[in-house]
Order: sequence, then structure tokens, then C-alpha cells
Amino acid sequence: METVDPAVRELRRVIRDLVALATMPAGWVGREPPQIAESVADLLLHTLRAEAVYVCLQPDSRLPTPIESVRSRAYPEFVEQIREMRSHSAATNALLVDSLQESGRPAPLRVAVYPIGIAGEGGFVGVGCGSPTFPTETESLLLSVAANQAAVALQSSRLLEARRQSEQALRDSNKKITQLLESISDGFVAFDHEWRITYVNDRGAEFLQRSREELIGENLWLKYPEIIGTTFEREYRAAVQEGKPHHFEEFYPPLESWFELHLYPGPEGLSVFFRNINDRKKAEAALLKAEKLAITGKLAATIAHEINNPLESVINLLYLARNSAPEGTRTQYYLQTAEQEINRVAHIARQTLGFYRDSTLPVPVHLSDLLEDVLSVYRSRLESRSIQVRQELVARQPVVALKGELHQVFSNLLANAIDAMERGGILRMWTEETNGAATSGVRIVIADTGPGILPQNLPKIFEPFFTTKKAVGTGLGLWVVRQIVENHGGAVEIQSNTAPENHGTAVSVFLPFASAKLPQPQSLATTAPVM
Amino acid sequence: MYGWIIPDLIEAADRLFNKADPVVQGKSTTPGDGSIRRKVLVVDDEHLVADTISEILNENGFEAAAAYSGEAAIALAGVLEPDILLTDVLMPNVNGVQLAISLTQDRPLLQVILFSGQTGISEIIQNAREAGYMFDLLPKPIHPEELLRKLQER
Repeated sequence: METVDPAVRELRRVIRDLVALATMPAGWVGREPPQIAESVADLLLHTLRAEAVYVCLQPDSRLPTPIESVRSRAYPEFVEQIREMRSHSAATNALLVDSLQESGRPAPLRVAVYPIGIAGEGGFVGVGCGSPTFPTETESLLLSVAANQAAVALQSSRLLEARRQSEQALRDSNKKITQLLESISDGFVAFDHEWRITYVNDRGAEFLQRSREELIGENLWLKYPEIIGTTFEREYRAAVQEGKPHHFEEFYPPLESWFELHLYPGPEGLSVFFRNINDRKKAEAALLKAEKLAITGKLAATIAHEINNPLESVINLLYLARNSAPEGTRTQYYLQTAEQEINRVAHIARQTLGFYRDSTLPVPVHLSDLLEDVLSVYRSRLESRSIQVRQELVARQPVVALKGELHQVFSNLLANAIDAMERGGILRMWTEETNGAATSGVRIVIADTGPGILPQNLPKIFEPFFTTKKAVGTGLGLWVVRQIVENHGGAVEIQSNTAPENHGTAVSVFLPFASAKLPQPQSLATTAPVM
Repeated sequence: MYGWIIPDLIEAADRLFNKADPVVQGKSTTPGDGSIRRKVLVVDDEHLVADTISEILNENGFEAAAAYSGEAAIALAGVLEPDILLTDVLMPNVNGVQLAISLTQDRPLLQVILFSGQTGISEIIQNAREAGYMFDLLPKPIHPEELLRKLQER
């Protein structure tokens, strides 16, 4: 067995302890002060073979209570002694040594106190040891190293805490801003200088019908290429270039929505507040439509007065002239043609100026007969366009209705079908009786083989003033049809196909045999007609 | 019944008595086929409308006379004793419905056809209905052949 010089052995032990002390703080990183205090106390107890250790950490001078850790078996005076020594130690910023004579102890307890940090602002460590030589030079060194390491650990814990607090403060403030942005009813989107979306609130994502994850980080122009060249792009760029807030309203076709936008350029980029204003726009449009209708109604009444009388006179004069012209002459032919042409004008006047709306009382109407009547009016136009007519008018039971109004309905539908087949085609008309519990009535279908109605136009075709027949359409035909049919307690549906191999439009009108919406003829029979 | 001066009356009477013989000569002039020509009083404040319709009716087996106002029509009706009254609705002073009601008081067999190209008449018609008067209503413009068909149905 190798004999080792005691001095060497001692040196080895000191080095080991120093290494232990030097490496321990690495384990203290991120620890809370109470854990550091415990750890320092254990370390000193072990390395100095102390009988009592008292560690006091003052992590924050503003906190009145320090963190204490005591390792002492039976020395109640020890803590008192050290606290007393502490003020002296702090004042000298150096090791202070004293002896503590305790009852029942052969030799006094040697006590050493060392401040943590400058002037003990971080607390202090106190160690009690039975050895009469305590503290030796080595032990003093170890004690000071331990105290300094504790100071470093405390400092880093303080820094950590400060960082945590500032981070928390930042989070709190961000949260407040976020809460604010989320609580507003407007959509909010923030763009950076590269037009990337850096933030979008819930409402904004809802308006754009995308999730936040889909939006954040995306480039505006890549994500929404359809807005390039629109008012949106112009306004966005202008706001950024001018560095001034902008405000505008615009329709966004992909979402079929109107938006009102406020743009605020800032150092980070552009902030956009926006809201959906469909309801407001709808209300405005409805008002406009109502005004338009009122004006049109007045206009129609005025025109009706000014046109129908001279029209009647001209029709009569042409009739008289034709009848008095010699048979088979060019004059008679000219007059006949003029008469046909003026009849077209008369028809248009009747259809658009709404005479039929003033129609007489509800009577039983045989729809098959009525359709034959309407068809006869259009016979020449059908022939001139080489449109074949295939009809299957089987409904026999009459519906109680305003005959003039139904005449108007089928006139309008037939005129539409003919207009749709400019280069000929097939017109199909059929009627069928339906006898359901709530749906007893007649269904009339008028179908053409025209080009069909574009899907995007289908929702609009019953709106007043909507027309695709720019030159001749009034945009009132189908609107009038629906008004009349619904007044009769019926319904009108349109199916259309624009596919090249199977194009055309079918209009289906359902009319109940009797409708509660109309005054019933039975009740009118009691009022004796004068004629 | 109507105390005021009727400016159109003299003119209407002149037309009536100077023009078509059948109207002046008798109320039961028979056309070639032996049937009785029915008498129609045509009333419209648009002179040309009243005139042309009268002429067409006269050429087609009716005996027609034109008046240009409700007042004139009332006076003329006393002379003509028409079977059918074909009248415009909106006219100054006495409108077509008032005229029809007035004439049918004494002539329960008089047939009335109202004739209008205007949309603003529904209220007048509705009021008449509520008072128990149901008159046939034809749209203006109407083709003479259609008008003749309607009259011949009666």
C-alpha cells in the first residue's frame, strides 16, 4: 500500500473540494434562491466538515424576509451569534471569526461568517466548526469561494427573474392588445413591408372565410391574386406610399360581399380594419330598387296614357285603310304589314305597361285553352323563326284565377322562350294535373332549346330590371310572372342547362285549383252584375 | 240630371244626325242578313279613338255613334237608346264608370264594356265592384277584330 504524505493528501482534498465548489454553480443555474441556499448549506457542511451551517440569502433587497437555510444539530445560540456577527462582517466585507462557548461543550465552537456579494447585499454564510484551528487558510478560502459562487448564482437568478418579469410584462401587454383586437367587431389584418400577413384577428379570418393558420405568413398578392388591379390594390399601395390613412368601400366578388376598409400605414407596415357591409348595401339597394320601381310605376302610368290612345287610333285607322284598299294591291299589302308591326308595338305596350294587372275578377280558367290562345298570338313569330312547337295540354280541370294576369304570365314566358331561340329550336309545352294534399293544381311547363341561362345569372332572373336582352328586354317579364303566380298561391321554378349537348331552359309554373289568396267567385256571385 | 252645359253635345248631335243614315232613320235598321243591327254608343275623350271605333263598328254590322265626353254620352243615349255602351274609363268630369252607372239606372238591359289603356283605373273599378257593379273591361289598345269578336259574342 502506497504511503502518501499527509500534506499531499490534504492538498488533494482541497483541490477536490475546490473543484466541487467551482462546478456546483453550474447546477444552480435557473434554480430559485431557496434551492441555492439549501445547496450551499449542504456543500459547506460536507467540505468543511462543519457542525453547523447557516446560509442567509437576500435575493431582493426590497423583500423584507431573507431566505434562510440552517444545518445545525444542537446549537440554538449559533444562529443568534452569527446574526450578530453578520453586521460586522458586512461592514468589513471580510471573513469574521469568533468563538461560541456553549454549555456542555468541552471546547468552544469556532464560528466564521462571510458576506455574500458586495457589503453582504446578497446575504451571508456562517459556519460553525469544532476544530480549534477553524478556519484554516484553506477553509477560509473554501468558504469565500462558496460565498462568491452563491453570489454569482443569486445574481444570475436575479437576472433570470428580471427577464422573466419583463417577458411576462411583454406578454401581458401583448395579451391586452390581442384582446383588444379580438374584441372589436371589425376584421383586422396587419401586413409587414413585404405584404406578408403578420396578424389577423378572429373576425378578420371569419370575414375572409379562412383560418388564421392559412393566412398568417402569406403574401397578400400571392394569396389573393384576384385583387391585383382592383381598387383594393390601388388603395393599399396608395396608403403605404402616401403614408396616410385611407378609407374605401368595395365589392369583393369571390366572397360576394361588400367591405368597408380603413387602412393605416405605420412603421411596421399596413394595418387594415375592415367590415362586411352587405346588410347595409342590401338595404341601400332595396331602397334604390323601391325608388326605381316607384318611378317606373309613375312612368308606366304616364306612358300608358300617352301611348295607348294614339296606338288605338293608329290600329283602327290602319284597319279601316286596309279594308278600304282594293283587294290584292300593294297598298293593301303595305297596310297589312303596317298593321302587323303596330300589333307588335301594342303587345309590348300591353306587356310592359301592365294593363293586365288591373284585370277582372277570378274566374275558372282552362289553362289548356288559355295556352292555346297565347300560342296563337305568337304563331307568326314561331313560324318566322322556324321553331317547332310540341304541346301536350292534357289538364282539363280549370283553376280559379285572374285570366288576364295568367295571360300575361304565359305571354311573357312564351316571349322569353322565343327570344332564346333566335336560330330556331323546339318549344315544348305541357300541362299536368297534380293531386296532392296541399298541392292540388295544374303544373305548366314551357321549355325551350335555347342556349340556357348562365349559372351566375340564375339567382337574379326574377329580380326586377335584370335582363340579358340588352336591346329589347325590360327586365320585368319574369319579375311580373313571379308576382302574379305567387299572388295566385302558386310557384314558379326555372331549370336551365348551358351544356353544349343538352342546353335549354324549362320554366315550371304551378297553379293551385283554388287559392285562398284570391277573392272567390262564389262570394262575388251574390253581387248582381249590372250587365 | 246634369245641369251644366255640355259643350260636346251639339257637336256630337251634329255628327249623329248629319252622318250615318241608319242612326238617324231608325233604331231597328236591319243589315243584309236580316238580323237587327245592335246599337253601340262609343265614348272616348280621344276623338280619333271614338271616331275610328264607331266607323269600324258601322262597317261591321253595328250601328254606332261616338261621344267625346260622359256628359255628351248621356245626352246622346237619350236619342240613340243604345244596346251596348263602350266607354273609356278616365275622362274629365264624368268618368266611364259614373257614366255606365248613370245610364244603367234607367236601362237595366244596357250592356257595358269599359275600355282603358291606363293602369291607374283599378281603384275606380274596385269601387264600382264594391258598390255592386260589375263591368267588363277591355285593354286598350285592342285590335278591331278582337273588339268585334267580343261584341259579337254578346
